[in-house]
Amino acid sequence: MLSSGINPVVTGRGRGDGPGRGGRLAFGASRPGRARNFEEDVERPPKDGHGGGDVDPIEEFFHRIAARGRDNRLAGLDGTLRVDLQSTRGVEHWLVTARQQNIQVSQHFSDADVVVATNRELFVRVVRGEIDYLSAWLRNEVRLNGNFLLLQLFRIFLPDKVRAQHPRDFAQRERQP
Amino acid sequence: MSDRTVAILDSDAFVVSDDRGDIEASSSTTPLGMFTMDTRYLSVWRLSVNGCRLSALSVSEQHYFQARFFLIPGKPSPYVNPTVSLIRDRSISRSVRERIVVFNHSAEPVSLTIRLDVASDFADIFEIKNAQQRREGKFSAKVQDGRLRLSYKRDSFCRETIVTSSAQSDIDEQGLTFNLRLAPHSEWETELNVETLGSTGLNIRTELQGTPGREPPQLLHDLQEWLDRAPRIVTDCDSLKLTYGRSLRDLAALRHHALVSRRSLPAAGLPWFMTNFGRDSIIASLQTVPFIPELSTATTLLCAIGQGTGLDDLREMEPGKIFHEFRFGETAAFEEQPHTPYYGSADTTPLWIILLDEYEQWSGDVALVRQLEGYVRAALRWIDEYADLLGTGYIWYQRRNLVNGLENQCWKDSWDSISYRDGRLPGFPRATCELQGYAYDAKMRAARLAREIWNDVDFAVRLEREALELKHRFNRDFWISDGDYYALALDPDGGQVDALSSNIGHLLWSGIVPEDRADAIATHLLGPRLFSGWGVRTLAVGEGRYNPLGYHNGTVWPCDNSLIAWGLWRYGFRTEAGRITEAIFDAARHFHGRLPEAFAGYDRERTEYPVEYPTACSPQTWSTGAPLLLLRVMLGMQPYLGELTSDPNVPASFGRIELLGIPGRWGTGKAKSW
Repeated sequence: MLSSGINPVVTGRGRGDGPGRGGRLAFGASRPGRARNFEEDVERPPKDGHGGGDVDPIEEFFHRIAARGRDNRLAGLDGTLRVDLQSTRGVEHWLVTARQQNIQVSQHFSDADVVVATNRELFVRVVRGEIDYLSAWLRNEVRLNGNFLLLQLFRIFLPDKVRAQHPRDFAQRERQP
Repeated sequence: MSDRTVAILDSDAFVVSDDRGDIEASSSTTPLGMFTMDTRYLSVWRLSVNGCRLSALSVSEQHYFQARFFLIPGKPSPYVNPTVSLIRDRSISRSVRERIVVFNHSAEPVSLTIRLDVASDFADIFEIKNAQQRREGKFSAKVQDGRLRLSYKRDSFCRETIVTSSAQSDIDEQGLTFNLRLAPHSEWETELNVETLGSTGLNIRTELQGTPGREPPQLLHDLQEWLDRAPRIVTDCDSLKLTYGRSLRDLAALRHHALVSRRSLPAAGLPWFMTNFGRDSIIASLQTVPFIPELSTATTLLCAIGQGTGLDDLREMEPGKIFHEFRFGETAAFEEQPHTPYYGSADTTPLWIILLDEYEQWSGDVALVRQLEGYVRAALRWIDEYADLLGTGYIWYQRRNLVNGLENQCWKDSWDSISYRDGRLPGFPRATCELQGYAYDAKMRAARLAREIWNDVDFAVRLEREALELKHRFNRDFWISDGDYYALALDPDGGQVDALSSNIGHLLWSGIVPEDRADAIATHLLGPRLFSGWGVRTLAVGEGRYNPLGYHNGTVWPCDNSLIAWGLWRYGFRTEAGRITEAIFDAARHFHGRLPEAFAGYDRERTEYPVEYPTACSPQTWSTGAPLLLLRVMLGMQPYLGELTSDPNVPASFGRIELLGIPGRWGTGKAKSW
């Protein structure tokens, strides 16, 4: 499932923005009129992918989680989340583990505290910000089982919805005659 | 039948019927029916005997999840003794159970045909609320293995109602028929069971919450434990005792168990808002911290777990924002409503920070404050960056979801709640005054958490500086000097939306009012334009949009009043707080201890009783929490240096009050009125 050149076990490096220090990063001077993503200062895999091919959006998503390494919103949320993605090629697994706010991502199959199961195609749209996973869950297109608190292990890394606007930009545009 | 409705509930599952126990959903503006997780599973549930509808002799609501109806066929008539009677015993928990007992009181045998008509429209609560008909899916009714199976299917979304009977019956697609022959002085009974299933064929609560909920004996046991854990009140004042007891029971009933099992937070209110509501859950938790701190534990945590992570226009989500409402029905599933969750409220985020600080002051739960540090920082960043739409240092709101987003994203969230004196409505974005008070308080409280718990003094200093700057700015821009009060809001040009409203009372609670202006605010709040005699009106008499029956434009809200009284207490206006407290408890007596969401704003002298607002929710969580907060205010309860302190100022009409077993970091404490 993985593109060539990527180790199937990705370990977060940890950026040291633990409790008490995260504020400096989080509270940069506000920049009016410009959408900002929480994770914008996180290193991302290059857009042009590895080995010349397009980067798989699901791989990119989980690599972004791994690259995050640490997130203080995961305090007290030690545990595991597994995502099972069904496609014609079988079932692909992604395991996200949080221990003391450190995050690890692997493709091992293992029991997990919460399991997200859906088809690969739909999950691609979730990680692209096209589909809301909770609405899809209510439609029975996504199954969630286990401790829902640990959905944080992937939820907080989901991107902005496509075409979503920063409220300041929106307000500014609406005020123009 | 009378217009009286009888409601039983267990968290998000509830049955509202007429006083005979019947449900005919089309016949009432009140949403009669059996509901779970925002879907109506029964819209018809109608009992008859030999083709004749029943009449209620009496109804007893034993517990919040149980009711019993005593019935006779036909209408009662003088000098004719009924020879047949019935009892319907109904409970709701994992499923709805109803035991029907039929008595033959005569010396002759009787032949009876008992008919129960059953149907479901599987309506989403929003279709009912907005009077919309929108049926994309397919309905079916089948008799299968001795059960009546009603289904609604739309793509892979499915809801099913399964009805079974313990006694032999003839089942057809429209209901169940029992043909009986009852011997003289004998009785017959059957137990009906109504199961509510979701898309996977499991109980809908199991599917969406991981647990089907508790059975009635467990509910009863839990209720008793809940009551035993709460502080005990000792008083000769009957209305206080009645209202306090009723509030504790209703708060138990309104606990919502969605999404995360074993934790519960207060849902908003029956029938429209039986779900996770950010604002209502947070306010109710604030009101009840001294009494039932466990609600705050759950609310603070679950609000954090649902905190916004990115931008989403449909849901009006932004990073760091605390959600407004979560729904589980068809309209949420298919994104015809934005509720998974919806974030359209500008006050939940600062209120959530305020709750976390208040809760820690009482409970000493430092671990939770440490755990939620990242979320609090994100919430503070939301206030500065995502809420300040015009870059003027205020919280503004303007909906990006133009289809069904809320226009007013403050607690007064009806479309016409924010107006100038002359009744005109301002443009968008709007910055209502109480939002700025909450932001001030949130920063001051977060500064305490930063200093004392996160050991980040620099951050604390910065937050305090920002709060003081906000206070200064606010007092410059919102103060209406020719009226001696604060504007309800600023319009997009920075102009004052100058109606006199109850919102100014929230400013006292937040502490954003300088001491030298507090007196003027207190005078307005207790003056004839705002104070009706039953409480402070949402909008003052004389304003362009004032209407004693206007949802946010003249009615009296017990919740609003409890926060105002808390604010008056903060500035030392104890007599004024006492007047509001007396008024609300007087009103509660007229509602048998259960305060509705709102009541009409007529002058007390004119009506002599609080007139009900037509479609008010009842029970409603933050109305249920109001008497508890008022009790706290009267007794002057406040944690100080880790100890419970009490500085009572109780109106004479209450007599002596003693509150025992107040939980907190001190173990249990007590407070008394003398």
